[in-house]
Amino acid sequence: MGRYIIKRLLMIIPVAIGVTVLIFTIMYFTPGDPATIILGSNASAEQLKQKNAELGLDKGYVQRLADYMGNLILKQDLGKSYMNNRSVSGDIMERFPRTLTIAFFSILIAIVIGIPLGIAAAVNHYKWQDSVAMIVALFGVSMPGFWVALMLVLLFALKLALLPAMGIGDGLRSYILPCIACSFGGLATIARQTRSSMLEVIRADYIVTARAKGQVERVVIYKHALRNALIPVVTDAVTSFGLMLGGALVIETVFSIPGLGVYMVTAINSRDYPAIQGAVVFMSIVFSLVMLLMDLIYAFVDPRIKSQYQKSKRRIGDA
Amino acid sequence: MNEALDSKKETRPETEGETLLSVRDLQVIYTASGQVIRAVNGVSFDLKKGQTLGLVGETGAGKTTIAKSILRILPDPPAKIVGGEVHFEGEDLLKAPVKRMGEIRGKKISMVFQDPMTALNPVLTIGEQIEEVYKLHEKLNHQKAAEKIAEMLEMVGIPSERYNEYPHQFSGGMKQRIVIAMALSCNPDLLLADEPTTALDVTIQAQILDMIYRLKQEHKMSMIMITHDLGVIAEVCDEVAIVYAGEIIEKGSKEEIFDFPTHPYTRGLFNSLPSLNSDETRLKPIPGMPPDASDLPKGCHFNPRCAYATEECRSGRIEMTEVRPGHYCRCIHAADMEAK
Repeated sequence: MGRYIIKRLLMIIPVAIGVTVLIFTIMYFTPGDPATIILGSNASAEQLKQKNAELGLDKGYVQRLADYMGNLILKQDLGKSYMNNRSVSGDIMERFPRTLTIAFFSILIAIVIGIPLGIAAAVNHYKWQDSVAMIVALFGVSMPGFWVALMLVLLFALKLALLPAMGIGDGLRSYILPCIACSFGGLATIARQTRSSMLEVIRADYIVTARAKGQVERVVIYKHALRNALIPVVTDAVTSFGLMLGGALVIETVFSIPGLGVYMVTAINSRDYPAIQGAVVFMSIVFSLVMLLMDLIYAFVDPRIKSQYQKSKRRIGDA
Repeated sequence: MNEALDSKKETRPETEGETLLSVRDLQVIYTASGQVIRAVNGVSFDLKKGQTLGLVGETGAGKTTIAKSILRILPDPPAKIVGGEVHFEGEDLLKAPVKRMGEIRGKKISMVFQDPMTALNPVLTIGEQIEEVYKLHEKLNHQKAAEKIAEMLEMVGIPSERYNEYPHQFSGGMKQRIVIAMALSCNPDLLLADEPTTALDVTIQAQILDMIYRLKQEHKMSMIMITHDLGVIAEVCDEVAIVYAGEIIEKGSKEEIFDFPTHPYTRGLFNSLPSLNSDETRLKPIPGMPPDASDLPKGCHFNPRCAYATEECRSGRIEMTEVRPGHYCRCIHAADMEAK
């Protein structure tokens, strides 16, 4: 298992390098001129040329790529933002914890509510509990994130004045509404996935075996069925967690939270190459780590998957 | 044989001959997309202590449904027990509260399933799965349970150090042994064996069958053996009941059924066995297909496939008649079948 993890961690290096080259190339070919954006459209050709030279944009593709990769690999330096001249890695590290907080708590809410909802629906298949759970899930997927966010602000911030409407000035309290708003979509998906996966599993022979043993229904469902039904749910939950780590742009915008999503979009709009490249590379590494986490959860949930990771130790049953 | 089991054997008094299980007029339906499928239609039989009853019939005849109804582990929906009584040691299991059923399942009555590949939970070790039975019914702690499990595993021929392994690490035959160990762990009074060898290799079949039979004798259990294999019946059963379209159409002692098969269907079953003594080149199948359980033929359910069917066979319910002492048959022509 340890060897497997180390192998996977090492594999992140070529992925990150590949992503860097790719995003660098894409940015190179993207139309738009940082110098014009920085100096404004009134700047003279002379000024623009000087600014380009200052930013190193007058060099060729190969030279620029080599410079960037050299800085990244040898100095672990993502460069400085064109806009505010601050270190890109510093900015990312400042903003990432906010995005992480939102992603973590939203997915937590989605799991804690979505899984029991899906189980209740599956266990009471075709009964009213099933219909209620699925209607809730349908609302969850159908409501646009920004609308949910605005409604929450209206109710909890304006009418009841319980929670802050925007910003991050109130510590963790400021994150409550963004997390709830952000959790709706994932909650609905997880509930639906849990339901369909559980429906398949509770018809399985080993569930009948568990009942034939005299096991109480609650244990049959939570111990025997749920773990077997969990793999597709883990896939869903962890993937949406990974995506949320890339920044929940809509939620960050509505609640004015300076997270990674807003940072990226601002950087793209102003052709801030170092910021864009830095953020993308950082996210590719984070996403690779999240995928590794997903595979480790798989192994934890299902011993058959675990045994694939430790092939050398595997013991095959004799006939 | 180990001590624990010896002591258990002693506690069970010699009560052979007493009725252990008595099923009366059991009726089960399945509802699927508005259609009602009558899977079991008024099945009645008795099982004496220490005896083995064989339920024989084609796939879909309702054998497994009968067994699962006894334990009340049919999936509801779509299955529903709509009538009848199942008396086990004088108690009607169909009326017993859920909690009481939990005490009976696995402790008094346990079941071995058809497909060992899917009968064990893939995410739990075999030890954990057997341990549950001990924790539920004998309230043993982890340590005590582990000792018992080791004994049980050794008894079915699995090295006890493989206690902590998962089902995927065992072969099919071994999994079936584990299922059997699990079923027998609380020394039940009645074992329901649902085609325990059908999914296995022929060479393993004999081993498993021998083992079930040996353990049954050692533990003085009663057993219901469900099968479509007459060879299995010949080997392990005392009594035989032939099931067709959710009804028992013939029942009696093994010797009676094998020596004097009376119902045309039973005769068809025996005729379809290849004989080594004659020079036949083709098998003799029973013509036609098993009936559609959502639309059973009127009268005798076998009449469309029966060579002896007459007008009377096509209406009304055919009752069981005693054709020879202790040998019952659900056929109007039973009396004159002997001549044919």
